[in-house]
Order: sequence, then C-alpha cells, then structure tokens
Amino acid sequence: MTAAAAGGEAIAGLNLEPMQPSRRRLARPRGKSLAGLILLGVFVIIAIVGPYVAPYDPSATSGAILQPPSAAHLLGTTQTGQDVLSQLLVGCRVTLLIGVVAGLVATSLAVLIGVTAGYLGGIADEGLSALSNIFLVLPALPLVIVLAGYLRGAGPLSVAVVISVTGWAFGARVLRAQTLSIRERDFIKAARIKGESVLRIVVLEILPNELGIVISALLLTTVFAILTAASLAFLGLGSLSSWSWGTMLYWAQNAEAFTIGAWWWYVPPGICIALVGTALGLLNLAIDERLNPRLRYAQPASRRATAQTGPAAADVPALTSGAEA
Amino acid sequence: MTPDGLPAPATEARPATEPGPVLEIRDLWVSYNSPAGEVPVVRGVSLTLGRGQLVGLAGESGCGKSTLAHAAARLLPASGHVTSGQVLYWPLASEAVGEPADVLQLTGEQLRQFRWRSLAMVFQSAMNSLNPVLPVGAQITDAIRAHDRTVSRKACRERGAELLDLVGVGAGRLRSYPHELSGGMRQRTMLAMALALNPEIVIMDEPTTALDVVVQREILDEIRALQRRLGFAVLFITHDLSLLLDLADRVAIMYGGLLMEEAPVTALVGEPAHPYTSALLHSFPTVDRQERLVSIGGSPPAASSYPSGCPFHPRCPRALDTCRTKMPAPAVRRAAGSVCSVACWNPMPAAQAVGAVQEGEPGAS
Amino acid sequence: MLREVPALEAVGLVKNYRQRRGSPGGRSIVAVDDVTLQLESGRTLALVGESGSGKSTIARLLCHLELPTGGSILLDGHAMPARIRRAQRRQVQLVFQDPFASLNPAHSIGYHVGRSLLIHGHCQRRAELPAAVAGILEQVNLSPGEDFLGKLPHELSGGQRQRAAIAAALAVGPTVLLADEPVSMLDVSIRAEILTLLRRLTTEQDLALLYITHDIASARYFADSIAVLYKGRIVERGPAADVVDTPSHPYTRLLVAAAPRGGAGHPEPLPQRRRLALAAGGARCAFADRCPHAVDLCIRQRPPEVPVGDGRFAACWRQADNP
Repeated sequence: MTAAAAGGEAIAGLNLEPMQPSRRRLARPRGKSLAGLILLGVFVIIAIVGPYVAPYDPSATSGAILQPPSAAHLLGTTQTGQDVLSQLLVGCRVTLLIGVVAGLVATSLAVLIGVTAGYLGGIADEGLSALSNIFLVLPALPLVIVLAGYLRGAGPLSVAVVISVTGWAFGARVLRAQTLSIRERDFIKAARIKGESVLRIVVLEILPNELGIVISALLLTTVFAILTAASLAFLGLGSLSSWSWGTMLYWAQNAEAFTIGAWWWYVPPGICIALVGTALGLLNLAIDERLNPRLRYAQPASRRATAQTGPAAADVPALTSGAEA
Repeated sequence: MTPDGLPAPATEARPATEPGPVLEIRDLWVSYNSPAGEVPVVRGVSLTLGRGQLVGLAGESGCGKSTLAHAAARLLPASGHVTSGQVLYWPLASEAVGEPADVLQLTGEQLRQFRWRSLAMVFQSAMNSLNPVLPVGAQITDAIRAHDRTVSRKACRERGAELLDLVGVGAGRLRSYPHELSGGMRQRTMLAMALALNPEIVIMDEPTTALDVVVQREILDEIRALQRRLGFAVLFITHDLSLLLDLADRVAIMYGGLLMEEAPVTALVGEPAHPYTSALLHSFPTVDRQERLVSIGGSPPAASSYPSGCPFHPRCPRALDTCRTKMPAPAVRRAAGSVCSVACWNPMPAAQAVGAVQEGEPGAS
Repeated sequence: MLREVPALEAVGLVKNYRQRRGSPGGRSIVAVDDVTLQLESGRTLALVGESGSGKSTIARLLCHLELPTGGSILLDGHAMPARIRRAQRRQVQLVFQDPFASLNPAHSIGYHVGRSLLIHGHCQRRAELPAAVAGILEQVNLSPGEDFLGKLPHELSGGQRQRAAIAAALAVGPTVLLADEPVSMLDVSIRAEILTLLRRLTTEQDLALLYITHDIASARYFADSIAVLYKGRIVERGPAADVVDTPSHPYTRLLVAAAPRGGAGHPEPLPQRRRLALAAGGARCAFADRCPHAVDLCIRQRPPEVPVGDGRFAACWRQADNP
C-alpha cells in the first residue's frame, strides 16, 4: 500500500529509469562501443575479403622455409614454405564463422529452453532446468573433444554445432531466472487478462525486455566458441581441411615453432584471437552500460527508480553504524 | 491504546502565542548533479519551525520536500549539495545568548553532537530500515551510543525499555527481532529510536505511508501525544495533505521547489491564499466533506523540467503574464492572528476558496 | 440500466494458499473466505479493505488470473469454467494499481491499445487500426490521440500512463471493469480526474465497475454501494452513503473513525483497542479479537449476514440482536 510520494521516479523526480531497448534509441557509439565496433569491423572485413587479397595460396608450399618477416612474406613463412600472412587472412573467415554460428545456435537454444522453462513453470520447468543443469555440469572441453572425435574430418559448421551444444546452458539459466522475474510483473498479467496467447506473450512481451541479456549472451558465447574452436584445432581435432587460426597454431606446435623461436608463425594468430575476443568484450561492456544507466554515470549516489525512494533512503548511514554523512 | 498517563490525543487548543523558533531554514537552494548537469531541486525556501510546534510540509512528487528535509539534516546523498542558504538552529540554552548555529557549517564533532541529541529523523518506510539480524533493543542501544558514548550499556537498555513503553510497543519487546513486529510496531520503534536522546527537533519523512488507515491514525495520535508531553518540535513531511489538516499546527505547501504557502492550519483551510493550496484542499474527499471535487489539469513537474517563472503557471487558473517569467517571492500576510506567507503574483481574494478554481469534470455529489 | 442478472457475480468465493511447513498460522492461508458480491451494469461497487484483507486476491479471481479454491463466479448468469475461452476473457478487464508497471516498457501506447482491439476482433483492417486506437485514447482524454500512438510508457506521466492502461482495458470491450486501487500511486491533484473518468465511462458504456480501495472517503464519494472486507470476509455492505454515514459493523466504524477529517473539527478518538489472544483457526467472527463489543457468541460461531436496513447487511452477532 504505497502512495505516490515519489511516484516511481528517483531522486527528486529525476528520471533514472533504465533505457529501454528501442529502435528509436540508437545513440551514436563512442568510447568502448566505438573501439569494439571498429576492431570487430576490421576482422569482419578481413573475413570477407581475406581469401581475395591474400598474396599467396595459404596451402601453397615453397622453398622459403621458416623465413622471418620480409618484403616477400610480410609475416614470414612456415616450415613448408607457406605464407603466414595468407593463412592468417584466409583463416579469419573460418574462425569467425565458427564463432558466429556457434554463438547464434547456442543463444537460440538458450532462449528457447531458458525462457520456456521460466514462463511455463511446473513440470516443464523442472525438466528443462534439469537438462540445463546437466549440461552446465558437464566439463565443456572434454565433451567437445569426445563429440569432435566422431566428427573428425567434418567441416567447420559441424564443429560449430558441437560447440554450441556445450555452450547454451549458462545463458539458459540466466534467461530462466530473468523470465521468472518478469513473468510476475503487472504488464504480463495484463497481457494474459487481455487474452494474448502464450507464444505472443513469450516472444513479444517478455523477450523484448530481455534483449540486453540475450545480446550479452550472444557476444560472450561467440567469444567462448572462438576460443574453444581454436583449442580444438590446436589439439588437432578441428577440421584440418580448412584454414583457421587454430589450425595455424596446430601446425606451428607440430613443427615445434615455439621451441625454434619462429614467433612470426604462432604470435599473429594468437594476437588475432585475443583481439577478436577483446572487441566482443568491449561491445558487451558498452551494451551493458547503455541498458543500465547506473554504470554509465558511475555516481556513488545513483540508484534505481523505485516507488519508495526519497533522496538518501538507501544512502543514509544506518543507525547501527553511527556513521556520519 | 493509550500508554500510561498520556493525555487524550488532539483535543487541546492550539497554542495562542507563537513560540520562538528552534529551526529556521533561510532561503535554501539545493541542487543535484545529474547527467543533464546541475538541477536545482529546492529553490530559495524559507521555513521556520517553532519550539514544540508540529509543522507539516506537504507537496506532490518532485516538489523537493524530502530534499529540503535531508538538506536541513545534512543527509543529502553525494550527488546533492546546498548551493546557498542557511539552516539556523536555536538550542534551548542559547535563547538567553541569542546566537543560533548554522547547521550547514557544523564541523565533524559538532555535527555528531547535533545529530540525534538536537535533531533526529524518522525516514520514509523506516520500518524497513531496521537491521533484520539484530534485536530492536540492541539497535536502540547502538543509536544511543553512536551519539553519546558516555552512556553505559545497562543505561542504554533501561532507556530502551523506557522508550518502547513510551511509544506503546512495550518493554517486553526489547529482545524482539524486527520481523517479529508488525509494520506499525516497527514504525513506533523507529520513533522510539528517534526520541532516545530527547531531541528538540524530529523530522519525519512520510512516516505512515505504507501503513493501514487504522494503524496510521494510532501512530499519528501517538506522535501528537508524545509531542505534547515531551515538548519537541516536529517537521512532518507527507504528500497526504489530509493527514496534516488534523495533525499539524502549521502547514507549508511546496510545489516545484518553491514554498507556495505557509500558514496556521485553520487559516490554510479557511482562507487559502494560493490557488494551488485551494485546489489541493478540494481535490480529495473526506468522510464528512463530500462536496464536488476539483482536479488540476496537467501533472506536477519533475525537477529536471521545472517551468519558467512560477512552476505552477501551466496549471493555474489565475496565471498572469508575470507568472510565466518571474518566480514569485514569498509575501507576508496575517491570518488567524498569525504571520503567514504566500508566494503568488495573483493570490486568491480573501474568503473566496472554491469558486475561482478551475473545475475538472463534475464528480458525483 | 438495471438488468435482471448482475453482470458479474461471485458466490461463496474461497481462495486458500498453501503455506510452507512450519509457517505460523497453520497449513494454509485463507485469503478469501466465502465472499459473495454482485456487480451491476452502469453502477460502481467499492470494495474497501486494508492490506491483507484479500481485496487484490478477489480482483485476480474475478478476472481469471487465478482459480478459486471454492465457490463460483457467474458472468451474466453463466458460470465461468476453469479453462476460460478468449471470448469470455473479453468481458472482465482489470486496471492495475501501479501505472509504472502495468504497461510493457518495450511497446508503444498504440501497440498496447491496438492489441486489445486486434485480439478481440474489434478492428479487422490494419489500415484502420491507428484511427481506432486514437479514438479510444480520446475517450480517456489523451488528446490528441494520434500524438500518443507512438509514445513509450516512460515518456508519459503517471496520470497519463494510468489513462493509457484504462484505454487498453476499454479497447477489449468488457462488460465489467475491475480497478485495483487505480489512484493510490498517483499524485493527489490528479486522482479526482482519473476517478471521474472511470465513473463517466461506467455510465456511458454501461459497465459494471468494481472500485477497490483502502480509502473509505473516496469510496463513499465515487461508488453507489460499498462492501467492507476484513480478513477475507465481507463484514458489511450496502449503499455507499449509508454505510459510511451510519456504519453498523464495528470494523466499519473503526475505519470511518480512523479516516482523516480534513481539518473539519476534531477527529473522533478511536475506539479502545483491545487484543484477545485467540487460537488460530476455528469458527468465529474474524473481528472478534479486536472488537470492543465482542461477546461469547462472537468467539464461538461465525456470524451470518444480517439485514440492518434498506438493502444493508452486516455480519455481526450484535446486529442480530438489535437490527
């Protein structure tokens, strides 16, 4: 039985409601999001045009063995005379493709299972939660290795699917929790009273409010997928038929490049993987900030809009501590 | 219920003579830092609290009343600050000396002395501010010792028992945890804590908002009775004007960061001078008064978008051209044998309460 | 227009909630305890009660958000089945207390109202939708309607949001409108216009309005009849003005005595408070432990509804003696 004292607005009527996802609200990117976008953009461009601008065929051998970077080979050559730069440029496509496909598939699974479990409740929830818990608990990499073992020699898309099988569970749990909370809100009850179908409520009423989490899950799962794919390839379990950064690392390790000190072979793919991960991480941080203004202004006194705030309702030193303002 | 020996509530005559001031807020300006820059929330408010008086401060959302109270008690959050003005406190002893202290200038140790011994506060929804893992007796002890370390723990416990009896919770509850008490009892406990060191001023910010009607009424009666008995002054902040009309000696109305009107409650009800006050008084029914209600079109402005000039002008039926451009300054007038103030370029003519106010759709009668 | 059959009728409505083991008060909480009420077209019934009285639960039961444990709900004389069809959904709509939570922050006002029209087939052609929505927004004084079509909820003030919520409920085309404390979270200066709006719509569209509130003064002002709820039971009902001016049940008297007077004279002192320590459960008057007039019978048996005047009833043993 609360009254209109602050009417749902925060400190003295200043509107600090979290920004709602809406097509009208795309602000100009700056700072973290700009850096992340540019970085990611670079790699996306490379993925698209890489095979066309690569100076050499990445599989073409030559006599120039283990050459450090030179004018002819900007990033040097491998043990079989292959051009490292060409491998890097061509391999970008497969690496990113695996990452994106795995990210999309895993996130779709997470949304499907998590939101359904959260909304339906009861037996369905119990069952789906048990499923998520099992997949959460299974160690990811060993499972992927086992599954990949069956797919030895299969293409990158199969690798992507295998990775997504292990990567959806965490997002599903988060989405389930969020859905449980949103389900109890008045506007969902209002939709039910209006007569909206369950499908429409889940897809059109609940999901739009979870957009932030979904995007975050997508970005993080993509990073996870890229890293896992690289690990798989490094272990020789990926699809060695196509070039990816992980494959480069596999061959480099195979040829003991680390021992010989042929840094131009293993450092570039490693850095590229790290940079793509960083770009996605920056985008994730930027989206977090946009959807949660508390992080944006980093004020110690910011608080969320609730119906019972007055200035300093939560900020006043507790009586029991006797602290001073 | 009536605890031992307390007089029946709310039937004494109002004091005939005005008491001296105990807290005087002079031309206070308070701003908050926001993403849009500095936003003034309280704009030049002057308000005096007389010794032993119960002054009500009413206003709707965004008017700045809570900010005003927190600023006066030096409890603003980090993003808020006082840009100008004074808050003068007249301790009892100094009545002979005549030197008030500016609360805003108090230093660390002085502030600690001031807090809880001179001025105590009961917050909005305070009953949810009790520490859930400590018994209430321990929390009262903490409160006392935080501001007066010389008191022994034993004395604190005795005082706690005395206080709980005083507010009607009962000394037997000293060892109870907050969740074992009802909402009303928790609020009374907060009141007890506030009174622990016999303060001269108690500021209450929406103390009964989340309580049921019956419990609310009991607590208000309790506050009034305690105030009569112990003699402290109360600044009672609420959005619910109807409570103040039965409870307060004087009422101040805030809107858009300004103090629109301040007067003894009989004068406010009988001849409101500000169009906003008049409209507000007729916007809610009571069980006795069921005449036609008026409503004010539009809604109260948020602090980030106060209108220019008088903040009420977009909704005011008596707005003049001046109202759009110049902020009204409080003007003094006399009513009910007392000094009042009203901040309006076109105040209501005396004794014309309802007729001039714009009416919304007709209600049932 | 008085029809023979009430638009919505609850008969002996009961709702229990199972509690976790070890919670005080026994195995289940009885939130709604044998409640019977009728909502007539074109008239307003106020349901007055404090927190915990079960008034919100009754609202949820009446609009089929939850199923009752016992009793029945009759819509136009026909019992509502457990699995309700969309066409029946149309008839009872609810306006929520919190205007900040009852609209989906991700969708525009036009969407909210438009969905109501589309789901129930009030607008067949997409092209006509904006005009139809604008028309309904005008009805709730959100004028001009076209301007509000694309606005998101957070761009509106509290009062405007509540109007939008009312518009969305109206667009469905109900015969019964339930309003759960529709103005208690709004600023005082705008409450009157929202309540007046509801009353106007009730008369114009021949709706049955249930006005749930804790404020007995506004109940008397706006409603035709009042039912007073205490701990899940209706303790008094009758015409609004009569019940508030001359209350029969001791609880109603307590509510009226506790209500603010608005400065018009001194408030009545509250009746002496008393608390009997009674064992939980058992058949007795719900108010017995607090009632200054309770006698032995009140503790042993649950009082029936006793007529106490023109169309007035009170559930009180003392009234049975002295009507």
